[in-house]
Amino acid sequence: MRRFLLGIVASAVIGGIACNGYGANEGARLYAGTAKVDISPENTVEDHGQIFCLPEVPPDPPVPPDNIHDPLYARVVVLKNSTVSVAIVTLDLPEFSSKWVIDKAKSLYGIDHVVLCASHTHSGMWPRAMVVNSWSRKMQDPGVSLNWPGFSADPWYAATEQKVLATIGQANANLFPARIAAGKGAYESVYLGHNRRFVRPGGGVTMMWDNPERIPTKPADPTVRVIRVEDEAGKPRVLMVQYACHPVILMGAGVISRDFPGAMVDYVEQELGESCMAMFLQGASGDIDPYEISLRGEYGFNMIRQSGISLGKAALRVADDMASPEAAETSMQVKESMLKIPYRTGNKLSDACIMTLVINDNLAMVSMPGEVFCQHQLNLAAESPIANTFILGLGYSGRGSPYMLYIPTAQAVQEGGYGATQCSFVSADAGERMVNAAVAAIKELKNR
Amino acid sequence: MRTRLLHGLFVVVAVNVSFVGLAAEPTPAKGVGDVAATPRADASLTPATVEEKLTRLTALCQKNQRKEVVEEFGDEDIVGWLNAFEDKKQGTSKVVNGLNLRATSFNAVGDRERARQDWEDAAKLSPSSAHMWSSLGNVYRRMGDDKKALDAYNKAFDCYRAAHTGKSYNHVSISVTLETASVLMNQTKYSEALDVLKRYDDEDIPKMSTYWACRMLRAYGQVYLATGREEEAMTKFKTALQLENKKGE
Repeated sequence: MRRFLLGIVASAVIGGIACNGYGANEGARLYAGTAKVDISPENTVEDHGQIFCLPEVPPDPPVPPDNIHDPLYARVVVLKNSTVSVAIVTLDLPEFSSKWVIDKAKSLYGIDHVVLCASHTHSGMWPRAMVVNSWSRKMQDPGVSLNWPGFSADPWYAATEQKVLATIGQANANLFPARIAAGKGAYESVYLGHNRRFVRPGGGVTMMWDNPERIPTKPADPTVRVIRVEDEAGKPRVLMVQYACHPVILMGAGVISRDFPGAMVDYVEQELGESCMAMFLQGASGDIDPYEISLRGEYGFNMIRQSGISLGKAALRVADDMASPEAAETSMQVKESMLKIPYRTGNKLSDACIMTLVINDNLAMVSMPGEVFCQHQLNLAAESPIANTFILGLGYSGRGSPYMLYIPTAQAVQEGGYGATQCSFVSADAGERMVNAAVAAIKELKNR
Repeated sequence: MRTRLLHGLFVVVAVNVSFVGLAAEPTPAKGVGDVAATPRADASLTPATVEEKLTRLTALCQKNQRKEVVEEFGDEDIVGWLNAFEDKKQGTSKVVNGLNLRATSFNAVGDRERARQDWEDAAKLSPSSAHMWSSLGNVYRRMGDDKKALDAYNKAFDCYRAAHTGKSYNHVSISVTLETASVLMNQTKYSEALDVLKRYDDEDIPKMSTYWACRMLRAYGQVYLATGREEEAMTKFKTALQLENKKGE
């Protein structure tokens, strides 16, 4: 297996070097490449309620797990013009912030920026070292309290790192001339997207994890955002769908699953054909849940399917209204902003990296390394000079803390509740600082 | 994080203690089936002593003293009360009432098996009682026997259909409709669930109390969600919320 992966890496390196040659004479012509890889565990797993991991001593020889409902994937799109290259990697995992993958991708393939975006499915895999203690409840940066490089001691995690790296290389080796378009549309759903923090009129917060009666909640962001990468013939080759919602419909159901994002991706690919790769980009979902969670059995499987189809249909409606860009050239600007974020306790600082990618002054993506509350997306969209501006939640670009847990608003911290005063160590204004940095970066990049 | 079983969507109504409902049930058309009263062994058992026991049982249930019911009446031969009566019709009514009260108490303390036994006996003694079949369906469901639950729910609904002309908006007939649909939903038989719900259509729902109307609307919404009919689902959920808000005004 390792030899196979090394082979892929080697061929991808050669491809990457070959591709680097064309850039100088191509102006700002956009090239794109795609690849995906199955990152499901190949050995039996332990069920830890919301998450799975390999047992302390995995069976040898491996015993294939019997609880994979739908396989987990890493999907990569590499975007490249003569000035900059970016790899966007989506992963059907709760969290994946491998500095090793990013550093290797940069050094092996010459890619300038890599952002890893986990979907945050609660039916996915974690490295075993993350399924210990109650690290998320401590008022500490997990980037410091956990040994992230040590995660690679987990055979599944190490294999996943290798696979993701190789897949970035594959995407980079298969570049085609491309054009990119972005759009957004309203998406009111009865499957997905309610705010799970119910602020009581008298004060205090009741966690409304699910909402079977579909009571309207706020803040919420009933918007689906779409990025389409097409080839010169106008054929869609990538459809990225950004939406904010915890993938927890099957949480605790005992099966490995991508949850609704996987069903969305399957539907979009079925509709657009195999030559188009669909990707799910998690948004500012820190306080956003599906209306129904933790469903079991066939009913639950059907609900992730219907939810995914619903989101996929909304995305395709938006895509249908998006005009293909006529200009052959694509401007692409990236900035990584390092911020010093105080702990809520005030006694320490944490480093946060906000990566801002602006394309054609029409699209701005901002990665933030945590579970960002929805209001931050609303604020960012309101303040950004670019129409299609959105947050990539749980986005890690290789610097700063890999995972800053929940990033609430100052108001939410005053109100309390899960994600605001629990499982959150950053200062109350951390999200505001990140949004301000993102807006400044967008304005700077737009004016370049 | 919390988990919630699917059937929570159709919140199973606690098996209620509806004395009035029992008294109003039509007289059984047939005999008591295979529930036979034991030969009269206790000469002191008279209609008066049965009435006394039933009064005590009723009082405990009304005060929700379920554990006391189980302690005091758990081993009582309630079916044997029939022997005290020359008028079997009168006796059956008392016995069914007693069995239902005890079954409700068994159920409340989690003894599903003895609750099932009592409700089975009660349903055999009073086969036209929708209430007994409904309660039996609920306990079967909680014991995981969906097949028997569906059968019992269907019998409950048939009881109403036989006893009433036109549609019944009684809570039991609506409840068994919702429960039947819920079981079918769990079995992913969505079109069958929808067919069952259609016993009550858009014209019927406004005739229900707000509580049952909202539950019916949400059950429809749930089936529509499961079948990808999102707009129709949204309409049902919104209508239910509007109804509730209107009631709260």
